[in-house]
Amino acid sequence: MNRKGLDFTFSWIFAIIAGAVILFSAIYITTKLIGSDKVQGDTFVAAELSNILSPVETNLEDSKYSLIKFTADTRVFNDCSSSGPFGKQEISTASRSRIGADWGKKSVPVHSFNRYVFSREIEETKGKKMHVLASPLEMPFKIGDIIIMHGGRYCFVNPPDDIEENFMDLSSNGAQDIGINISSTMNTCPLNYTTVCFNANGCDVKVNTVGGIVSKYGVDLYYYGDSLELGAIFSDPEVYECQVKRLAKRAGELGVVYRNKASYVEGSGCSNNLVSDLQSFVLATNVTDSRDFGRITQIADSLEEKNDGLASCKIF
Amino acid sequence: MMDLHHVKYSKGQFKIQQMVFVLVAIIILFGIVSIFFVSIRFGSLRSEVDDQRKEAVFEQVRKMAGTPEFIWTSSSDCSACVDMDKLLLLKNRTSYKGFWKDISLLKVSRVYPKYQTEECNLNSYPECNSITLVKGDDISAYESFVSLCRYDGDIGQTRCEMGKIIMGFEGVG
Repeated sequence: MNRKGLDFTFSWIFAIIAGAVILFSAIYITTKLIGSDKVQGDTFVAAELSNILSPVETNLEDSKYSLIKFTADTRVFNDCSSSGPFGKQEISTASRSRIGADWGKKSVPVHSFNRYVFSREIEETKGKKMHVLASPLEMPFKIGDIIIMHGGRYCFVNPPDDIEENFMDLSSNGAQDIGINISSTMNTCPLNYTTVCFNANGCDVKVNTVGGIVSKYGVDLYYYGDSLELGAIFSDPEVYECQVKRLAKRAGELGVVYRNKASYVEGSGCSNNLVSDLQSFVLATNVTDSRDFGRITQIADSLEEKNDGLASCKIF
Repeated sequence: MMDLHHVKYSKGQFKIQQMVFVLVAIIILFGIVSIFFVSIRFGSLRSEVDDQRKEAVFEQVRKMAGTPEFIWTSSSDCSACVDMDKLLLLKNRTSYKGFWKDISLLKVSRVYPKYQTEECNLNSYPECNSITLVKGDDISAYESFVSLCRYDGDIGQTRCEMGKIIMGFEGVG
């Protein structure tokens, strides 16, 4: 019998198995390291994005526009939670290195308690760019900044004059692309753009300016004021309702501080009679959805009127 | 009885032993390389996290005077005016614990005039120097000059004085 043809001894089998184990574990570890490197990179992008959103916030300005450029196509995940005294805003990102490639894993979220980002739950950059509009919410005192983040691809059909003027101001009379097309008819809107109609049907988003309602995905979102109107247009319903609840909570906390201030300065000779109104304001901030927000605005209007009547010792 | 001095090892057994030694050596080598790699990686990660925190504090210190909790809106518009009355009343609100994320020191301090009492409370206010909202250790602090405004009952109007916001972040260590 010829045994030379197949000399497959135990040492060979052992070497093959051990070699395969070493090779596969090396490949596995390398893949994992590359994956975790990408998640780490995306986490830094999320943290940087969160930092960038600080200067975007307004001070005494009416509204602000900023353009954020990413180094790769990026998805920004906007997670909002309304539990806790102020709720929580979480931002995480995922990127892809080239077109057609798979998206990376969602990064570790970066959270904040004093930021209110209105966007889709997953907002994607267009041309590696993200547009950010910020405007303060005052009712009657400043409650926070409404930060609208969108990747572009919006077409506003016949918007009211105030919205058009606001967009013209933010875009420096059209010199800067703020990612929003304004069109006179729906047919002239570019393809794959989200269309927004005002007091008219047929668009992806319908705005009823009389009732203060934005309808999208079959859901009605109630808004009060220009900032929340834009917030409702650009957000997913879940994000909008959550952020509105968070804003109401912040309004409640600030209301308590202003109520205590009104009471404190009364002791220093500043008679204001705002304590009971501010207490009603605080109670009204316990909202379940955007429809309840109307209660706060009614009290806020009355508070503003009374406060404006105070000459030298205004509370806010 | 078996004679232990005359046990014969086969060629196969010898090769297995050789292979085991090689494998152990490879694993040790992998281990050393991994430790080296991880230590370099975590070293850079630590400095990157430090930079991120520093950047976050820089951005916030610039904008802090304009936040709803700090901003003075009672009289003429002033972007760098802080409402001291509000801050004093905010100081003991437990709901604000942890509100300013990543900030381990948040303090408003009077630059001029100075009083004998350092930290303000309801009894010493307004004749005191500072209101501390967040207090922590092991921090790098940054400052921004602002006007500290309040209603002064003695003169029956607003009084603004020179002050600063001091913010600090905790290093990763």
